[in-house]
Amino acid sequence: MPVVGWHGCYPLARPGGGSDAFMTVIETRALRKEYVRARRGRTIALAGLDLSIPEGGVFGFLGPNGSGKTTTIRCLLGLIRPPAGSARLLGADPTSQTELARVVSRVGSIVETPALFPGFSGRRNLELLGRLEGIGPKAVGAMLARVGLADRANDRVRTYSLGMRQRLGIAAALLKDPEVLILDEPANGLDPAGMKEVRDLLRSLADEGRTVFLSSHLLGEVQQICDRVAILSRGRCIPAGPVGEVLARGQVAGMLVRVDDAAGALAALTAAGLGASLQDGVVRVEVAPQDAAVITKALADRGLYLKELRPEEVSLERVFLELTGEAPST
Amino acid sequence: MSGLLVVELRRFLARRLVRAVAVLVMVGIVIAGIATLAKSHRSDAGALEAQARADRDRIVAECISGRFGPPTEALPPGQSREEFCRSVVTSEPNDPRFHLMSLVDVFKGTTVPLVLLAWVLSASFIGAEWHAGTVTTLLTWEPRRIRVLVAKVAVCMALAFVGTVAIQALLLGALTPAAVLRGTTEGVNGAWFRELSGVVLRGGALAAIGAGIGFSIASVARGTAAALGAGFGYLLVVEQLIGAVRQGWRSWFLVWNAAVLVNGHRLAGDIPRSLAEAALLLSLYAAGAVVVAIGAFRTRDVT
Repeated sequence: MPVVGWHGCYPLARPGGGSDAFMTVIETRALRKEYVRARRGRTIALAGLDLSIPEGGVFGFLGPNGSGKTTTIRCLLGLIRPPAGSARLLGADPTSQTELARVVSRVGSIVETPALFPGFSGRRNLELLGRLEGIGPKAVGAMLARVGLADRANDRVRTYSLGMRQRLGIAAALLKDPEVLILDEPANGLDPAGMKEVRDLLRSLADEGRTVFLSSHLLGEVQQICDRVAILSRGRCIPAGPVGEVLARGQVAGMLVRVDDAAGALAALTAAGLGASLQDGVVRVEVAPQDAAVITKALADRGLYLKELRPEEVSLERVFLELTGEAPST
Repeated sequence: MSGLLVVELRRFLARRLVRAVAVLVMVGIVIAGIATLAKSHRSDAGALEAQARADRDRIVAECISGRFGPPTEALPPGQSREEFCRSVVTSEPNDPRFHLMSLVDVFKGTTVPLVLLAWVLSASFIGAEWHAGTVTTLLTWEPRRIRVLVAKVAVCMALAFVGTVAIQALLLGALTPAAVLRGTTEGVNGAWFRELSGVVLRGGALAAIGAGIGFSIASVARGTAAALGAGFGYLLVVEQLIGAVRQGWRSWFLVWNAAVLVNGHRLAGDIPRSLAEAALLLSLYAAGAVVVAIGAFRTRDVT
């Protein structure tokens, strides 16, 4: 991987660039967008978003509702025009429809819920879209089979479940055999088996060398399939990077202790003035990892010996909540 | 661009609303053909005239008896009631034959609903896209918005023209047997056919103009209802109310110019528009509406 580190939401390339320099497929700089609505007044959707996404892999784009994820995607696809800042998709400026047309055949996308003609069958919908790029019925049939819709391909889309529509949207996005996939909540409405299929599909697409830009609020999904993540909050990107690095940014809230006499350990730790609680035979102690010695001393003083002592695992969800300022106080 | 046109053409023709309307129109044409055939019949001229005379005598007798007509004191001075009744009741044989020549007037009449249909179908074509959100999907495949909208409106206008001409042709086909078998083709000659063709072609052009305007309003408002509301509102407020108050303005209104276009000549009365002027004015209105729609589509956010 030519990316050697991250600065904010920008990946760092090796000094000097050359063959090790990363290729940026998506980039935004100081991107701003606000909506003015008669009833709700002015809403800032993007407040100077800086984002850079290197080629290859699955990039998770996380953020709470209203953080600006879909607005970012719409800006990248030229659907909305930002009043300030700039964006680049495969080097093209999305505000120029001519430039965007030059690269659009290399980009597959889903924006929010896939919007297809409800009165047409899934097959007809894809055939109509495919015709714009000279894609024939054979490729459409193969794509429908790939997303598991071959049996329902000739049914009207209005009879599809949300999950089936989502699959059809993914099929439409993949039909162009794109280098870059921009997917806005592609797992919406899918059952667990469907989610796993999509997860595997996206992973395999990334393994083929494609770049998958995945907007999602399903943190578990993102944690499982993404190589890198960016977290968006109030229209700005909170520092991003490889999933492991982002997880490391989370504050470890405590240590987990396993001993033979869990009740005795709880009493000993409480008596030593430490905040502790017992859950499923494991004692959770509110002590930072670097201060773990106080735990071993308190237990040893009571003749209790550790079977296991480890930091509490940090989930992406916890990091997400902490970084976006929505974490419950513990 | 050709791919886009083909896609839009297929999508238009595959719409359920379009297919349902097509079926209804076909059924209507068949019913019109059968009804005209059933109603039309030939009688000899002598019998027709005798029947007309008998009818006139009966009506005159009713008039003299005072069952209708003005009171005796209101009759013109120096005229008896019988003289008055015989002067006002005429004897016109009621010809039950269907005249193929009358198709010119029939087609002028059918042009009106066909133009309204073109307006509604074109407005719903783009309105349904905004409703379903498929404009977003399409723009992720073809981001050049001018091309997208031009393809859509071109398809609507072309199909409105072709559809109107085709429907009138089918109507001609459905009514001709009634004229040939049980009516008359008197007066049908080259001049008649040229006049009929003119009505059909100008009706098709008017339908295309209606389609363009309906489409443009729905595109700007991003919904079918707005185009329908604007259409009916315009007919009610502008054409009826303002037209009644400001009669001089009517020469700029859609309906009056449309009437000149369909009839193919200047209307008697106070609408000083020639056929060419009316056609040009309506075309400019449609072009203006389409330009506004393209401008709005090109610059506004798609959310």
